Amino acid sequence: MHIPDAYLSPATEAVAFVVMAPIWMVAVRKTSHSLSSRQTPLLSVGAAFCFAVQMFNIPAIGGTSAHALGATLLAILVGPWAALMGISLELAIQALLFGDGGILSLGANCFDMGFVAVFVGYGLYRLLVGSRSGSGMRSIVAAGVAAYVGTVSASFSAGLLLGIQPAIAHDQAGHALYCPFGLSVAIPAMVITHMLVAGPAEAIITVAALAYLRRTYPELIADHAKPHLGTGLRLARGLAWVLVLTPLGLIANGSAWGEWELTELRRMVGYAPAGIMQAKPIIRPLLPDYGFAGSTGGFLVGLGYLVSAFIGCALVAGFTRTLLHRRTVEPMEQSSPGAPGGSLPDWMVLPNPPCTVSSSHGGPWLERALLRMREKVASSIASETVARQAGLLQSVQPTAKTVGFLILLLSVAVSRSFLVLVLLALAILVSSAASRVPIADFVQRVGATTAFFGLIVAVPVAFQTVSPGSTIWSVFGITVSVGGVHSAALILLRLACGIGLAILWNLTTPWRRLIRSFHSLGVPNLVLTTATLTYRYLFVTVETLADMVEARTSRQAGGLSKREARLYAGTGSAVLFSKSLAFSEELHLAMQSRSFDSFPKSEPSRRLSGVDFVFLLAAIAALAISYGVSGHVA
Amino acid sequence: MGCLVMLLELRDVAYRYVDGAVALERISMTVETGDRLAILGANGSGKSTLLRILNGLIFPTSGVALFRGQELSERALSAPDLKHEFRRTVGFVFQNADAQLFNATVEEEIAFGPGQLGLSRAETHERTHDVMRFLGIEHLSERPPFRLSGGEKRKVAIASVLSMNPEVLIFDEPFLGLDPRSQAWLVRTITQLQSAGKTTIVATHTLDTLPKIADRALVLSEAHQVVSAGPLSPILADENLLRSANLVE
Repeated sequence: MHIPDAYLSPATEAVAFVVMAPIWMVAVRKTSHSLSSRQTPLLSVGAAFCFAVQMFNIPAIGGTSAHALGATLLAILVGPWAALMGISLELAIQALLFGDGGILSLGANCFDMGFVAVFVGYGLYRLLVGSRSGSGMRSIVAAGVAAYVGTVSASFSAGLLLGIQPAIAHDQAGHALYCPFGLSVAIPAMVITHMLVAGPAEAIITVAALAYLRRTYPELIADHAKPHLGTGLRLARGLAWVLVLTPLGLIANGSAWGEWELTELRRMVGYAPAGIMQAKPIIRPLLPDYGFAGSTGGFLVGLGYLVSAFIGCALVAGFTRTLLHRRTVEPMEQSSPGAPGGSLPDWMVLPNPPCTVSSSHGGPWLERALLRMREKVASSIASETVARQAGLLQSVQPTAKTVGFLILLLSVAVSRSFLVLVLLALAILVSSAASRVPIADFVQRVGATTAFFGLIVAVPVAFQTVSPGSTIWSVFGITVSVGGVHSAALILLRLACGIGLAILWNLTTPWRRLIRSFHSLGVPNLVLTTATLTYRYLFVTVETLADMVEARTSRQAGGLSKREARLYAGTGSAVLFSKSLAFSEELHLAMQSRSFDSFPKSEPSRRLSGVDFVFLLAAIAALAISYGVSGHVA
Repeated sequence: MGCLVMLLELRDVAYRYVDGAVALERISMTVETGDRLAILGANGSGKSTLLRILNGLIFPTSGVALFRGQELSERALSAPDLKHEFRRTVGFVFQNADAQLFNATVEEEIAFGPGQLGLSRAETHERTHDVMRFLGIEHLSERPPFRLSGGEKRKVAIASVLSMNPEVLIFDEPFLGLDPRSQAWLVRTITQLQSAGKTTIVATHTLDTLPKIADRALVLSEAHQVVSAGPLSPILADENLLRSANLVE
């Protein structure tokens, strides 16, 4: 659900920041009152946990990607405002350090995955639990339902932001400049994948983690009642809320958006983008998995969403049962604690009996995603060595660098000219070399990230069906158009420049200096302390997760059945959270014993000097050229 | 080549990290059924990496690792038959017990392995409780593994491997962080397992308990290479060798 910089127009990004600014301010004020010092590590662990959860994503064709968020869980544990802050920090770290999601689109991403997910999820949870918070089972099911709805709502919001881009930003020929897919593609792509995959995953994670935390860390949860499986009826009643709440709203919206898009848009904006007109009937069959995609009637579309929601709920219900239904353990005679019983059991002397091998599911995908992430984290650590070398960008004063890089990112975002973007890309390469960044690694990293985010959107754009224009070549009915190739190349180039800038910024700036620059730009201390803790826990969490996967591999003789895989995903995330928490408590004590209460007040930044002014002027010049050449002025 | 098929064999194995740092260089070794092997080396000499290769968790950058004559590679181990045979034959007790435990309760932790072997629920339950009784940890069965003491965690980690009844047991620094009584207990447990016919590979840099649990040793240098391999007692007597490998002061 992370929207990269190149997919939103600067206007949308600016509006998102304007909307988020007061929300963030309230969040900081609320949390500085309510967060005791012991809760700060909890919040940071929660944010790091969300990071780990979000790294398991699948691409949503026509949208961005689908993954669980961890938002409702965090909101239940630390309260909605603190959760909003934690997720915003985690998204900021992802954007600044890993190039996941954009820096300028941070406001939009925080709105979707922070504000919408947290407040819809938490609000619904409070609504469902009501005053009867004493019932353990009820509140856990309510949390699962709320997490599901919260995630789907966030994906709807993201789909909305992406889907309005073709209408508000395009060139004279009607070619999209940012996200090329209209509402009819972006919303189903996001919402349905989240209804079927990410929503259930979110619910499973939330339910599993809460049920487990109640047993292992009862002090964390105000309601001490032990969870036990109620009747199936109660479960069904809780889940029925999903069916009532989500799809009914979407039926109403579904048809309304559909109409809006072609006729209303034309009326409101003055014209309908050619791309959307062409794309609407043809792109749908490209998405055969999305149930009722081919149908145009509002009712059938609504029915499609309803069926998706139903399947999603069934998955959640099935899992909740397997998780909460624990066989009762019969009491056994106990040996005295710690005394070994002595003799080896008979079966241990004999070889294992032969048995059949169960079929395999899931496994490798999880491991691959994890290895990718571990590499990213490792390269992020490695980047500190580059940041400490002497070099061009390393010598720029941190605050000037932060301002300069933000201006440069803006100039990439507003640019509509190939030439300007190519020049910017060259400038990025030259300054990387001057900053002694290993160029081959840098180019490879930028290329890989661009491909991961970009190809899924850019390749369809090249086709005639999405972008009309004169044909370049045509094979098997697939036609590539001139305008399409132009749009696709522009989107990819802008994406690469944005990611390149973010990575270069990260590579040449140690974390401490980055934090200091934000401090001098007025970001409150509490936010930066929490961000620093989150940054530390991030490595711990990813390493813990990698350890868990390795430990399981070592003992996994057979494959996982589907049921076992679900159970593993659920309890695994719960155990991961608890383990990180246990570790964070120790870490926090260790920090306290070295008298840590907020991030160290570092020596004041040096005054601005010549190199800083040159850097800032260059950035401003880039913005002016990019803005001027792109025809905004005329 | 010889007609004897070794249980585990490494031929000219090297391992390098992604950043190019060397962890192992030119390692060749064999493990036969019933072996009591010790792997000696200072911190950072590559013991853990070597054990991970022997457990098929990571794969050599060059050279080959063989299990009963079949190559252990990522691809080969994705075949269900080999994976099943290998995982049920070779068990690995991690150096960091915390890292090894990934289930919600001690009982689930120990039951995970037998469940993987396709045993019935009754058999799994029986095995789990037999192992807990054998190690004296029955009173912990409902506790979450990561909220236990260091010694208890180690016992649970060992139990989680023993419940699979592997033929080969690999221990990575098993005595680290244990109090003297627990160390003595672990030595007894390992010898008990050996007399039941288990093959054991123990990596360590503490030498005093070694003669009780090993009769053959492989010494890794700080340059990540094998500097000596053979019967234990001559190796333990060779002061110069031990000093060069940084195992004694």
